[in-house]
Amino acid sequence: MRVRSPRNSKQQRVLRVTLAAALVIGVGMLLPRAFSFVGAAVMAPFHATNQWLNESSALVPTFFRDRQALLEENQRLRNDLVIAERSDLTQQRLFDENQRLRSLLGAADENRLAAAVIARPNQLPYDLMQIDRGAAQGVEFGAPVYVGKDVVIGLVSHVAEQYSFVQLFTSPDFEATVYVEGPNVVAVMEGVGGGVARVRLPQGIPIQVGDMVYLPTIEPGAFGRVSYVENEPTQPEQYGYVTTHLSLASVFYVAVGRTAQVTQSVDAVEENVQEYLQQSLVVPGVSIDISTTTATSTATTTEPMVPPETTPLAP
Amino acid sequence: MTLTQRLAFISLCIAAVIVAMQGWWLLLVAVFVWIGLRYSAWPLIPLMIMVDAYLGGFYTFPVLAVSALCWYVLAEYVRERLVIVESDHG
Repeated sequence: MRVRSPRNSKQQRVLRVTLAAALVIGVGMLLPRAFSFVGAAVMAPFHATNQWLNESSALVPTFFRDRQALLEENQRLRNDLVIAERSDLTQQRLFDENQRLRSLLGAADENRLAAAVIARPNQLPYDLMQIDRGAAQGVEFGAPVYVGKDVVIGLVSHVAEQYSFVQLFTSPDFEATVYVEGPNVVAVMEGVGGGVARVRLPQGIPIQVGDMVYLPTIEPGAFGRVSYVENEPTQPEQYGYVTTHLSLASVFYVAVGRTAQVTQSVDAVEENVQEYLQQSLVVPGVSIDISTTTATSTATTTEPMVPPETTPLAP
Repeated sequence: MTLTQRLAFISLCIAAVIVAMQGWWLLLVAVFVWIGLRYSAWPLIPLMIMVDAYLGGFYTFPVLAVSALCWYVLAEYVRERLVIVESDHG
């Protein structure tokens, strides 16, 4: 008598099911249109259930749908936030750079030309500064060179096609007529190198550290402040050493003006000196606001003066 | 198989179809594993064939049907080993 083991029977069943399924799948791949028709008919109840889950406003499908939608929206917003943060950083960096360039150029003055500093005195054999703008961009020989709105640091001494050299006021033997605010005198400033210039004044003139020094031959022409006073009572002269407000090593951009801003006229120089004098008592930051309470009232309200934020006036 | 087990089996098969139609693949894998190891995976084959037919899978390649077939063969092989292990300690 022949006995069939359960394991062999099971293996044969698996084999039969597999073969049958493979046959059906094969037929389905040969007749996909017929299978789709049968599938659509058989799956009609599931199709209705699926539609209910996807489109119904009932509680359960709405819960699943809303949760899924919220998850997707959450992920999308996270991505947007990351992108926005990065673009915000880029915008902020560009904005800062733009503001810095505008302040260097003098935003309201279109007669200036922004230039990048290629080399500084410590990189050149002479006390010069090389900039990346030349005759092709409109740089003129003798044009003043600014750092910031009105701080002039030198004159263009050589103009090439694509670059220029700037002779600094602090170059040795460079002389210029300056107006020293404080003692209110006009004197000769001479460069001593290393970013320092020297004002020579007779004894008795009350020059102090912090006095502003202007170049009245250039409009506008602030140069710097007296940073050290060398005064030997036995000597007939005293010296005030003048520096700009920033180191030349930290200057990356300058603005080149026009030669028309440099004048040799005595009258123009005196006019500039008078202008500095007339503005020397103006303290920025002080304002008085007056407001009338009613149209018929004669009383006025005066707010207290705001204390000045700057240092006191020079004597 | 008791009536309760039979009802649970049918419910799981229906759930497998709905889950496959919704595209919740991880949940579908879990249902496949549960049905294949606890009951038998052969009903998944015609169900997935129907899902593929409904979704137009036979126009390209019936992934769900072939996956169900492969899982049936694998589950039967694994289930046999699991039953032997249980019998050794039982």
